[in-house]
Amino acid sequence: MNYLDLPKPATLILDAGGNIEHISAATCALLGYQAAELHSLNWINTCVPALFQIKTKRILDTVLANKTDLPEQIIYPILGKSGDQYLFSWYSEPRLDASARVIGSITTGIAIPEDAVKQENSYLQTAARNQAVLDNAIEAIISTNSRGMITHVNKATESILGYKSVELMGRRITCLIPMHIIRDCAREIRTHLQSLDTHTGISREVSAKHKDGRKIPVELTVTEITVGGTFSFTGIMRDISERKLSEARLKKSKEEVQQARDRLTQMDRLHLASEMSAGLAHELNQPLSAISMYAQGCHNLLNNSELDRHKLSNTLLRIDSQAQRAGEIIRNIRALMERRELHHQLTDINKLIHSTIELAEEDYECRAIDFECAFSPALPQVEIVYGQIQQVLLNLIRNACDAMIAIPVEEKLITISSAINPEGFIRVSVRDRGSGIDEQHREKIFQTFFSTKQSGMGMGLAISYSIISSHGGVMGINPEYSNGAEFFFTLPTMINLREQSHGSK
Amino acid sequence: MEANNTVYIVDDDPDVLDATCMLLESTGLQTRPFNSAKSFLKNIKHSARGCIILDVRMPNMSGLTLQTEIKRRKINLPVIFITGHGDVPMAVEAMKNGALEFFQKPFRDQEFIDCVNRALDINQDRIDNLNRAHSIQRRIATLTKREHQIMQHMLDGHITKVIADKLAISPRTVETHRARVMEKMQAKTLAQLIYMVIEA
Repeated sequence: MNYLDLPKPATLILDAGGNIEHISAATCALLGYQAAELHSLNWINTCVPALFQIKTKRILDTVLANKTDLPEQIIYPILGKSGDQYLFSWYSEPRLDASARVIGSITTGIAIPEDAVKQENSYLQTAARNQAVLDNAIEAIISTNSRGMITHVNKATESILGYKSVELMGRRITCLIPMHIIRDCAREIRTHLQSLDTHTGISREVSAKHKDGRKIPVELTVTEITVGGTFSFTGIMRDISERKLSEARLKKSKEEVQQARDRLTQMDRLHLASEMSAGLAHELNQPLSAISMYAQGCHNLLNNSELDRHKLSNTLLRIDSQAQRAGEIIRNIRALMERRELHHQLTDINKLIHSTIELAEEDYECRAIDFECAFSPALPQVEIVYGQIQQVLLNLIRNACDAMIAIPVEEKLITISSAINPEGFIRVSVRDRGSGIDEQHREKIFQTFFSTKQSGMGMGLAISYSIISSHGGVMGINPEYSNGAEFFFTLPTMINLREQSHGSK
Repeated sequence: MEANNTVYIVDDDPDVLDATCMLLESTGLQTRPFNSAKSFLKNIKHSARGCIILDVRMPNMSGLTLQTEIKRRKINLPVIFITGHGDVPMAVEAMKNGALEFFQKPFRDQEFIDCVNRALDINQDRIDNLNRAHSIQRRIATLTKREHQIMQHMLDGHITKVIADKLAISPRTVETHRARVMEKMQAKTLAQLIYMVIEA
């Protein structure tokens, strides 16, 4: 006896409580019941397998509530008396009385052939497996239908957002995620649909609303699934509060490090220039002012009707001693500078460039800029004062950043290359895409106190130039590069230095 | 009076202090040097006349702090600043605090001398004004109650007839009082009288 060969529709009439009022005879027979046996029994409890009861109940509730958005046809199996399952496709409508009150439901079902049932069984296994995966996931996974109504949530949802799954079923997704984010996601999905990349999940950081009203930072990935022409959305939310917290902490400590570094580089840069010149200016100003005032005083004495020779002579001696005082200050500074011993160390220039770029990238102004490295591999080592050459390079990078301040971010690029030049010197160049250097400024650019920047002191390149010179290299501008500015410096390698010392012998 | 006009100079650098004194003395001014804010505050008298020259950068108490202290003690002498390292905010603060001028070293000596003389003039004017105000107040004190009353009406611009009506006395009597007021106040015209009373 194969009832499945007969595509008779099953008819099912339920009262408002979901109890069976009528069930078609053929269906009754299929399930192995007498018609009278099922009467007044609860349909879902009696004839629906446990796995499908929640889903079925929800649909029935929707129908009995006479909601306008009735679910489409749904497929679920029914349970025979012997425990066999038969797969049907069901469609339900509410039954109304004369005064339009819902008094129950009427449902029709079409049996689905056995081979389809087999498929369905493997589908059910897959579904069970998937369910297990979903429930064990640490992310909250929430599915909605095309209208944004929640159709499925996993267990993790409760631990992240505080809602039990039954509390969310049938509610709109907007109770969890603000509408504008949903819209953004929907818009992005549509864009992706147009590019035919239908299953791409789009991930973004948003804040979801916890049941208790808190805002939980989550990483939301929305995936759109299309089955048989109808589509639904699945959102995966990963709780990133911890990550956010540690990110904030990291950011704070990074900022502190940066501030300390800023102060250091600032001091370093200003040390020679500002600190020293201010101190020097003050020190020298004292005797110079005294000399100036004494001299004017002498002038006044000479113009007086009575000449006080003693006072005049006395004052002239004081002028002399003030000039001596000024000379002493200058001698002291010279001695101080000569005493500064510099530590030279063997260095791989490419490593130095890398670490300097890292340093520069933490600079706010340089942050948005791309760096491109064109290194010659296996360059000979150079013996340099590491900090000084780093200072020179950092200074060139900063200048390059400043030069590109007005161009669009995506065009900002600094190219740093290292190579060995025909004379056997290491040549490092820093290229930007800025406005370049005016012909008229090229001569003066390495001079002290020359600056084209509004707030520039005109010290950076001058100091850099003297550092490179003291290392036995040269510094200059490549006149052939016209797409911005290219500064370069050269440094002698150990080989150059050896040749030099041989040559001099 | 002139002998009391002194330039008080406060600078911690003894050479600069000496040179400043020498320069100002060479133009015939009287100076008094102090090597610290403390010794200046200890020795300055409330009745001092002249002006003050302060170095901005001094150990213990800076020129700016000393200026505030001078103001607090109501020592009403013009202050001129000298600094080795002029910076704008410092100068602004000093000027806001009532400094007359802010010189950055090295400066043009003649400009400096001119400024010191201007400061002395300002102080002299202030003293003269103060003296004049005192003498006017003394004159006002010699007025009788009735004369004082009449003067108030005069200052309000009332003519004799109106004053007579208001005080219920004869215009003749008012005229007599008016003459006495002008005489006692040593004012030749009504305008002079008004000016005096405003100044006092």
